[in-house]
Amino acid sequence: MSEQQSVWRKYIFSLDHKMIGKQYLFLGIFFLLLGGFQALLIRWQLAYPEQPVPWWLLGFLFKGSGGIIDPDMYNQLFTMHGTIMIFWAITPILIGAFGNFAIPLQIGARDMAFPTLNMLSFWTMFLASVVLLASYFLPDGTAAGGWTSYPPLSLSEGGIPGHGQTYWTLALVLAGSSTMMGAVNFVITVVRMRAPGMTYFKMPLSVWGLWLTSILNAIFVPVIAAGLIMLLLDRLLGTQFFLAGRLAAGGGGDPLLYQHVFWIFGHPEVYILILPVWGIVSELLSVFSRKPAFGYKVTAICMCTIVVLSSIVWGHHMYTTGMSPLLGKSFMFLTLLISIPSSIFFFNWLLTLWKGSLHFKTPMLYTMAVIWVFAIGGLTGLYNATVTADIYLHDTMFVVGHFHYTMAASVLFGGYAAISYWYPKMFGRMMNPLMNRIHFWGTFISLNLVFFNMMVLGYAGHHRRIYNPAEYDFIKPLMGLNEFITFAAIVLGAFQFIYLFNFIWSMFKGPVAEKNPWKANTLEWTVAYPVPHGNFGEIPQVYNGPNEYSNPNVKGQDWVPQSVQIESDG
Amino acid sequence: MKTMNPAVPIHCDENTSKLGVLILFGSITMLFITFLSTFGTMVAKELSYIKLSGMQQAILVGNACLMILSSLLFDSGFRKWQSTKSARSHRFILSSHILGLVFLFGQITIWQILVSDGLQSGSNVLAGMTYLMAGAHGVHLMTGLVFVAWIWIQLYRGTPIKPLRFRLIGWYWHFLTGLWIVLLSAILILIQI
Repeated sequence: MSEQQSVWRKYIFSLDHKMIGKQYLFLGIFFLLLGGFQALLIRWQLAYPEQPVPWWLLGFLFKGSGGIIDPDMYNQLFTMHGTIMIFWAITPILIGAFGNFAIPLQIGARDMAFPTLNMLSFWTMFLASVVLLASYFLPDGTAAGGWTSYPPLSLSEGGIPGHGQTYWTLALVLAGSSTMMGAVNFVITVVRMRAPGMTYFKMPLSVWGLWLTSILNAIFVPVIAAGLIMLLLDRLLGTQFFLAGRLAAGGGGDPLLYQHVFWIFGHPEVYILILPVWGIVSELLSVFSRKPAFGYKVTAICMCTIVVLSSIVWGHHMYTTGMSPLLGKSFMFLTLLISIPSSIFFFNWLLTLWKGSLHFKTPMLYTMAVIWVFAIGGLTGLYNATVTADIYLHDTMFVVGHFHYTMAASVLFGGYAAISYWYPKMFGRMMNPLMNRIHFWGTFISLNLVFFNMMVLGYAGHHRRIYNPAEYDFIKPLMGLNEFITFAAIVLGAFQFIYLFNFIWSMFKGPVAEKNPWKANTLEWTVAYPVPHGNFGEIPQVYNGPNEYSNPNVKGQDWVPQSVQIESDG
Repeated sequence: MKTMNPAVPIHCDENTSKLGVLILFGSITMLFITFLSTFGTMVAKELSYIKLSGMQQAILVGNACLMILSSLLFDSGFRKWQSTKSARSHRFILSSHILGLVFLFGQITIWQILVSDGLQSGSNVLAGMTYLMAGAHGVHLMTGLVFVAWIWIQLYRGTPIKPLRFRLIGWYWHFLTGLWIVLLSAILILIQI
């Protein structure tokens, strides 16, 4: 009954969730490199404004402007850096790759509920990528209105000329459609395709994180889609939804409406990106502490609470737009409320570690790094949530440092943890642990030097999105720190090549992985590599939770697969 | 060559498909809620005004009634097919499809009438939002028309149809009817404020 698969069906238009997961992973890594390269160019300009870009940062790309990054190019760089990192790197890697790879395997399903829709989702994302990349070849360049693309800056009337911004909007609409298809699939797969015995509270916390992310995506991606369609019509068909004042021919609309629509999606988006990491961290901490996840149910409930709260706090991004002080206070209260469930599961992480038998394998190192960077990112978020502090800090490098700690550092380390952890099941081989350790320490130290010092800069009043900081007298004394951050960023970038090399090298030369190298309980480790399409010969019956480590009723080993019944002494 | 697992084939059951369609409806609803709340905010901020004559309102409501009728005909066709498995139910589906097309052309005609009466999308943001909502609904409707046409062709040819497909296409068609009724009612109420 075996069915032969053509190369096209197996590698290109595959219906297998594992192959689609790998496709997303490669796409995400490509864009991570592109977005990271742009970050270094931004840092170069901030440290050495209007000085020629060196050859090792591909200075020849700026031949037309005498080797320097001109203001228009700078705007394009930070716009595309943000857009690419959020929508084309983090989303494909954490949600596309690991959502696809892990969910069906971990819940004991044969595949996603709708495999064809899953394939369509990836190829829609691919098309979105082509549209986005095409904008680099336009005469006027790419989008330049920031990753938020607020109008009127993002409009052609009085804003950014050319077609770059239009391509950006179109690419995001396509990427949003892809995300929607994936979200519908993930949600239903978890609801309907769980193996017998796999109750919600027996699901690994990594599945909880990915599932809740998908719910948020299904609800809020259409919101930004609506905003982007209106933006597109304003640019192409002459409507004036977001145009006001002299720029508008008639009465015009209201640019602030876009900000509301954007942040109604944008704030949940933060959680969309971080929830998978929270889930993966919660799961991996238990695996490498060899003890049950402390407060498993509470952690899951806290994540659900945050999902609900995340949808009613968007106004904290808009304190400086002149909103009513009462409304500002309401948003501040609701935002600060999020710190309660966040703190609870954060302490659950610490208590999972407490008195655990800690195994510092490389996935664990990356997981521990998430705890550190998320603590800093979370705590500095309180300043931005508070109206009085935010009015001072708004639009400064403090905000950049804060959200890079939460959205970049946490997600980056979470991504590395996930790749290192599931690599043996994805590629059948182990990554080189020494290279991973070198990468970990180099990344951990340099990343903190970059992002922490950004917050110092912001606290000292350094605004974000300025082309030449040296033009401002009050920033001049901070230029030394700017140079230091750039140096640290270059070191950070350089260390990523170690991981990339290890990732590719191990695929061919890494030692062959055993079936369950981490001695983990979840179902994906019960099947040997290469896992066939369909995953399980027989759908497994689930008896235990995912974190039954060091169970006294299990003799001879400190782990027990979810599909093995524990014999109780009593 | 990697092979498929020889065990159970991968497919989802009826309830999974139904749930998938319901979540899709939820997401489409969110899209239109955003449009509608933007419209409502624009009304509240008095960014522009729309005044529709009694005749214009009557045409809009009359056109919506065509969509309701189309939905009812589809439902009748489905019930008849379910009870008798008779290919004759294709007449109901064809009527439903034709009414859907008439509704779509009606929308375009009303749009043209409103534009000729001075409600330009460029100068009046409320008119622009109305056209956007009608247009977005129309795009979804065109997808629905393709599905309904497919059902009709299958019935006409006497090709067997999976009942679930028939049912879910019906759901989509009824959803679009309900969506337009809500949108139109909201627009007509909001512009009176």
